Amino acid sequence: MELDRRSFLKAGGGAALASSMAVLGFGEDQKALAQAVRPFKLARTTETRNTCPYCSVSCGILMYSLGDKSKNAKQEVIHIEGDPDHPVNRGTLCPKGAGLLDFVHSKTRTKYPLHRKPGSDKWERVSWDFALDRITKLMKEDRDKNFVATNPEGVTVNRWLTTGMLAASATTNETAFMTWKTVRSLGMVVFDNQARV
Amino acid sequence: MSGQTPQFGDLSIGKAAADEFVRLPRYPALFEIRAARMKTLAAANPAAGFLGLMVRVFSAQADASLLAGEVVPPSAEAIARAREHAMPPIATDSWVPTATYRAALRFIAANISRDGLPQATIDVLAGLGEAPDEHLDNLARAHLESAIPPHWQGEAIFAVAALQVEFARIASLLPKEAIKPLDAPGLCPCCGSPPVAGVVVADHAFGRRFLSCGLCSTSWHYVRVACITCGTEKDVAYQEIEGGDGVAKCESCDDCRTYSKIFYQQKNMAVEALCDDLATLSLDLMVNNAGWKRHAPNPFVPVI
Repeated sequence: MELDRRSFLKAGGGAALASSMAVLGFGEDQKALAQAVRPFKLARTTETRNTCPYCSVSCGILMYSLGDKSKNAKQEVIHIEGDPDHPVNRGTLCPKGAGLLDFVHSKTRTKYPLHRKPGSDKWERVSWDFALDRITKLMKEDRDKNFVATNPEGVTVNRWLTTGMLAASATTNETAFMTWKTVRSLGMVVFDNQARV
Repeated sequence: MSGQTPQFGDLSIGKAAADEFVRLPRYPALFEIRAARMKTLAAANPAAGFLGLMVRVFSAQADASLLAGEVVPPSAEAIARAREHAMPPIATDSWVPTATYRAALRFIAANISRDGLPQATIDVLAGLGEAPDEHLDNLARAHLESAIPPHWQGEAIFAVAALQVEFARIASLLPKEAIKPLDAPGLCPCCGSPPVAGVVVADHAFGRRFLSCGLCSTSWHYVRVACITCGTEKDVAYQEIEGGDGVAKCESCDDCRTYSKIFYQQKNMAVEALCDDLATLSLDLMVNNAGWKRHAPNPFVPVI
């Protein structure tokens, strides 16, 4: 259906046989429709399918946002609800998930790495490079100091008990595989890959 | 402990949507429902005259649906065969014009009140009343093949009205559990026609989208936030008239550059896909102007 205003006006203006409306003698209605929309603009919103970040149930969510990706405009999430098509939660959310919008807009939300130096009482913003280097260094120090290669009976155990890891939900099989391989190959035993947090 | 109970605001955790694929037409009640809905919508619409004609058409359909005459639903065997090949059980291309269709069309043409209608409409209705069977059959075929010649566009909408009565009646007799999605999930699983619009329902399937067939009025589930033409989920956005009430939006796809309408029952329980589509042609105008093409026409406004 080619329904732009120009052809609509043209049809209403007398060009015969343009549409069922014109053919049946309702050309004036076509003109009125075209006139009616003149003062208005279109508003664009998006609905985006995503996964709730809280726990391993991984409920589907729909996030409603304002703004146009293509026009560099500011995007803002305005509403979040359960995805009615998702087989796990069928449109529902638990109270944590139902509060996700506040989580998105929270003033205390962590958006970049922060560092509190030993003895300091305040957090300072640092680069990802700094954060990752620092974590790696500390992990290595701790592992070198506390790694247990064999138990008192002399049996090889290769365990590292002084550092643990918490990974999040909503990971793919591939991410979970990589996480498992990385963490276990270091000898880490204290390891939870779910967000019971 | 002060003994005070902490107070919290309402926190909606939503309603679990029932898993339902298809809703067969409520024949013959659907035409009464449409006539009433269209009447409400027509009053304040810029196209009040044309929509007023639609009210009369839907009322005439309601009366025509009570006419005597047998329709023959497909056999269990034919339904099973259609299902096996993911084909619609009452496919339009295998439909042969029937006496019930012709009777419905003649009844509709004769019983629409002429009071206050444009002369052009009155002439078209008079012409239909005198037309031979062959012409009525040709009108039906032209519509079903989406090949209506320009000079038939007036008559064709009354043929559509009669076809809707015929197909809704057959579809209402189909066994619900035998209806399965087609390979093209954007087409009606009963008759294979394109939908007029989608409705995000607010009943037991809360929040799910059901597309509504423009011919047999069957509704079927189609996943939300996915283009009904090309299936992509990536470049889908929602266009509405700025400052609107959020009931009617166009789901536009930047991948295939088409759009389809979507109505939110949560915002207005009375929405009816066909009526609300006709009452929001101004939204079509704006979205077409912005560069998207409609996925398929409304059968009552076939070509511009």
